[in-house]
Amino acid sequence: MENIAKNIEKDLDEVRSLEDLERVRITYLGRKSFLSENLRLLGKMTPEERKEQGPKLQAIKEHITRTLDEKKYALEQTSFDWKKDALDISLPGKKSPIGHFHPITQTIREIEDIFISMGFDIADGPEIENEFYNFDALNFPKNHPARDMQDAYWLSEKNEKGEKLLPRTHTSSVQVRYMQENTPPFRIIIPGKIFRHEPTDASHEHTFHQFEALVVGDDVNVAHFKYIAQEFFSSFFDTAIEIRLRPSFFPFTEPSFEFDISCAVCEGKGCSVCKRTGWIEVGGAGMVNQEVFVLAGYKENFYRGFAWGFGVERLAMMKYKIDDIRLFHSGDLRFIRQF
Amino acid sequence: MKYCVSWLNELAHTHLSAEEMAELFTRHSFEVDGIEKIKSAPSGVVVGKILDISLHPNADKLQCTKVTIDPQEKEILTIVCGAKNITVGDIVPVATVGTKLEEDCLITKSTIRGELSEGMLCAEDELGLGKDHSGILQLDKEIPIGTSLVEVFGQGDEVIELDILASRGRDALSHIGIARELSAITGGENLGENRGENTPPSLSGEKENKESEKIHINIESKKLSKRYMGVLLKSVNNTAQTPDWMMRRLRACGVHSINIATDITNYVMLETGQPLHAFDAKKIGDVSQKISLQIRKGRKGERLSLLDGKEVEVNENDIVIANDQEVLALAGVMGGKTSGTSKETSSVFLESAWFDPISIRKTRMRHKIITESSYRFERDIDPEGVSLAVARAIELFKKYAGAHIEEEKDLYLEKEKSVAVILPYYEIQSLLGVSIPLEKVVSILKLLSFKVRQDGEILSVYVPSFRKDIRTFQYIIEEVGRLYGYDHIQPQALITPLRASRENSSHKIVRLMGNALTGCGFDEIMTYSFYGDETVKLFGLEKESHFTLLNPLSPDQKYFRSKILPNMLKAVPANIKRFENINIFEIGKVYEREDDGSVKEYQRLGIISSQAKKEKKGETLLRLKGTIESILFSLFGQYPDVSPIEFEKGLEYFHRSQSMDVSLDGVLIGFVGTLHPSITKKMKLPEQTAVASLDRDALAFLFERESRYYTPLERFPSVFRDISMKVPYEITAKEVEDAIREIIDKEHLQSLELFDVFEKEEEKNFAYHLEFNSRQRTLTGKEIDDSMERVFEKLDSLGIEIRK
Repeated sequence: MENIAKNIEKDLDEVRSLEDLERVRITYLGRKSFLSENLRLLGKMTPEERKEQGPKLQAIKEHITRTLDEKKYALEQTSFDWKKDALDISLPGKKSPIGHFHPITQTIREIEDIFISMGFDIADGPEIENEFYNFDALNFPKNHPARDMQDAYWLSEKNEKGEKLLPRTHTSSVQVRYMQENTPPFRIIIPGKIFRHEPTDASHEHTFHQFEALVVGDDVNVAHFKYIAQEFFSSFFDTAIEIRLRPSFFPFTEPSFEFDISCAVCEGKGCSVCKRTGWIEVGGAGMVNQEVFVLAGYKENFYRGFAWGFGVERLAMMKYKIDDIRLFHSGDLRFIRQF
Repeated sequence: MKYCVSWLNELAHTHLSAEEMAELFTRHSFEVDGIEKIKSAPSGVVVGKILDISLHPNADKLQCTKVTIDPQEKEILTIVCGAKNITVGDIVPVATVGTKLEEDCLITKSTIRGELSEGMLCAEDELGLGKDHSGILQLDKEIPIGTSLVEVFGQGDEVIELDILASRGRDALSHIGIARELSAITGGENLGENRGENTPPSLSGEKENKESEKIHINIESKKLSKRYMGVLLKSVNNTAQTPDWMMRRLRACGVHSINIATDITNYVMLETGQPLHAFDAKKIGDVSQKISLQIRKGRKGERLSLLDGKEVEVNENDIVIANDQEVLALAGVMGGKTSGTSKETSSVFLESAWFDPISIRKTRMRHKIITESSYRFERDIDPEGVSLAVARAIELFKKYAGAHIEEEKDLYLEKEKSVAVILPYYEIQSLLGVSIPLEKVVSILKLLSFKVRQDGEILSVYVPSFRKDIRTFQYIIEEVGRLYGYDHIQPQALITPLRASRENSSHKIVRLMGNALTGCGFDEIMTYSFYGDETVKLFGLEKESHFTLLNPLSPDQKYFRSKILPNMLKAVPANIKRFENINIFEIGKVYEREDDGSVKEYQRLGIISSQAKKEKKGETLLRLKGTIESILFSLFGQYPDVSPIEFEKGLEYFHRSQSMDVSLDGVLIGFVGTLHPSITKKMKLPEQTAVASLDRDALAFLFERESRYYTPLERFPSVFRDISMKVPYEITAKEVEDAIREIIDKEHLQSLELFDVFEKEEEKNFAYHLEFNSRQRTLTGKEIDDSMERVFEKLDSLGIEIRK
């Protein structure tokens, strides 16, 4: 019996085709083969003999089957003419056209996704706004310079209520609109397009995008703002970011801050991006001024909240190292197709 | 504003370098715009006098001078000089042999083009005293010859430039104000204690509303001026030398020395923040009898020559200072030329006042003049500080100009209410999220000159008059927080119930449409929301339905767009030159003005497909239509219906016979088509350009309504048949399809697909695949043949010729 294994090796060495292989198979596994005959004898054996012979025969059968399969696979592989089928794989692939999102859209989506992951809702408001929501409701004094024609665009037409209209100068205009419709606690972000009366050059635009975040509740403080800002920027830049607050002034927040983030490029050591200070100024923030809550119809000193805003273009320019802000609205596909 | 570092140190009793101050101010007070170093003049440079100037014999551009640096004017140096601004008798800085000017510039005795030169006459920049290189620095004629320049200009100093917040103009546009910040940041001494020689008095208990016999002031309205103080100073020696220390400080702050009277007013302004004006008293009234001034609105036609020589015409928006004859000054902005002080001035009328910030701002904007004075008045100066500045100026006038006070007048029409704020201690922690010791809070407030009364943990805080920006306890907390240091606030997680974000359908559909379009090879662009008359005309739009900018930056950005496509189309020609074919989209708002004036904003999805290469008629349009159909099918599970566009107003820019309304489930969602040929031509667009404009709100509405359920998969085999036919030109594919669907049992027609279209001249040929299937059973051949027979009959009756 043990010789079978040796014999089959020898026979297979001479096999050159699938037909040869079939003949070998019949010799070893065919009905008249030595192995089949022995297997048939099993039925006539005593249980003890069967117990001894059965597994042995089975093992030999499996061995033969496997050997034959291996030989078959090897024969098949060599039966192809690989050379004849050879293809120049360095030829360019037939491309599927896939479009490109505008880098601002990509940045906005990324920002939105981070805030959504922290349980913020997305709010929206009109781009043509009345004077009340853009300025009055945010506690801007009547003669504040931000209302000047040098800083803001104004429209020639008034609305149906005779209110003065302007293209919103910031997304903060949505704050009171939202608060009038909703009761705290809430946390929202307001992405959107804004307009300033600003002649354009490589770093100035009259049309750009902002992000506003507003969190209002019973117990919201500056430390919470720092935490959320830190979480956001660390996620956006994918590295640990620190927040630095500096005193500032906005009519609609009190206290007010400019906020800097530690430079993601040099990790705060100082480089050309942060002008060697280790910090990059990214936006303004503050605790919502109670005047604004009152104008929104909330009771004074009942809620606390923080608001912060920053420019999307600035973040996109930092992220992609873009040096001319005018490219965003250029409609130039050489620019768009890089993203 | 520029601040002199040594001055701040003196006032605040600190010993900080400019860099140390910069770090502190950045974190606690104001942004730092820059630091400047004022070097001391190099030793070896002395004051000299030019005795003679002659042309250099060998060089056109040079002169030979004879200069003395000897007080007795005996020893004479020959110096070659290139500057042209010198004349005999000038007092100038002379770098003597052996002086080191810059690192590598050693002055030696040398021969320049054959002429001996024993030193160098210096310009401001060469001395490191400033940036001026226009000529040799001219010194005061009174300075003794031979004096070392270090003595004249003093030791070096540092200047720090701060960006003062709009709300802090009242206190911080002064050295006293910034020194107070410094004290509070460093936890130092209270300002005003240990008063140094050059520091101002701290005023209290000064008598207000002083009466005067000679000075008559008439204020038209307290709105224009709440307080006006006038002081008549006599026996002023205006040729007196301004003291070195004052000169140095003025120079550090970027103010030129003019004469002692003007220098004192400027100095007091830099120190206290209160702008002062010095009139030559003799030029505005009769000094021995009466000076009578009006503070009033300007009147039409009144003119005034200003100190800088500019002539202005005033009107009722300006506040002016006038006597009975003429306008003397543009109040708070600039004095008049004729009433100003000069070396000959012996009587000075000193003005210290409060002027309405809004008027000042309008005036300086209209006349385009910004002065140190207008800058401060515009930020609402402290009426209480008016008298402090006067006291300080009088002190300096007496001491340095030999003046005495003849009369003093103080007209204080309206006092501001003093403000007291109740601050419960716990509010600090609940707003800032950091615990600051109570004693620290009190000490910070006191250093800022707030008066604090403590009743357990309730603080009553009395706000000084120069901090009008403080309104409620939150403002006080801001002061405490920033001076304590925001860096002490540790980030702290916001603990709130976990709540999943809700994404509204408008937001969602915009994302999905964007994803689908980019997936189909469309690039996203962004264009401006404005266009001009040319676009309005070209697209046949109505001006009245647009909002117009009152102050556009250019005429072609005058209207707010009411359509998304025009500005997008402007991006096509430049791109098509580079890219043969382009597929672009933009998602943005358009704005319409309703008849009643109300604003309607719509979010639109504009899509353009354009190819440079010629194509079969309709190919570009049908491809774009197909893309939109596929996208809508993937989002809504059904294809849209189209019908010829209804040409309402505002849609004339579409091609009359190649454009369609697109609707889904009976809701109009937008338009697809080609452009009016004249637009294609004028904008130089390829003929193969198709456009679409879809409405986000309609899509969002459908998306919200959308519910999709599963249809069981078919269990019996399908049977396929093809028909090919010749169709009269006027019959549309839709009509053929409708006819087929009308005949065949809806249950059995699984799909109907137009797979080939062949058009030539007046004839078109369609070929359809039909798929038959039943949910209940296998359909028999006979059944299907019968159906087909009836279809043939029906088509035949429409004049359609079946090709068998």
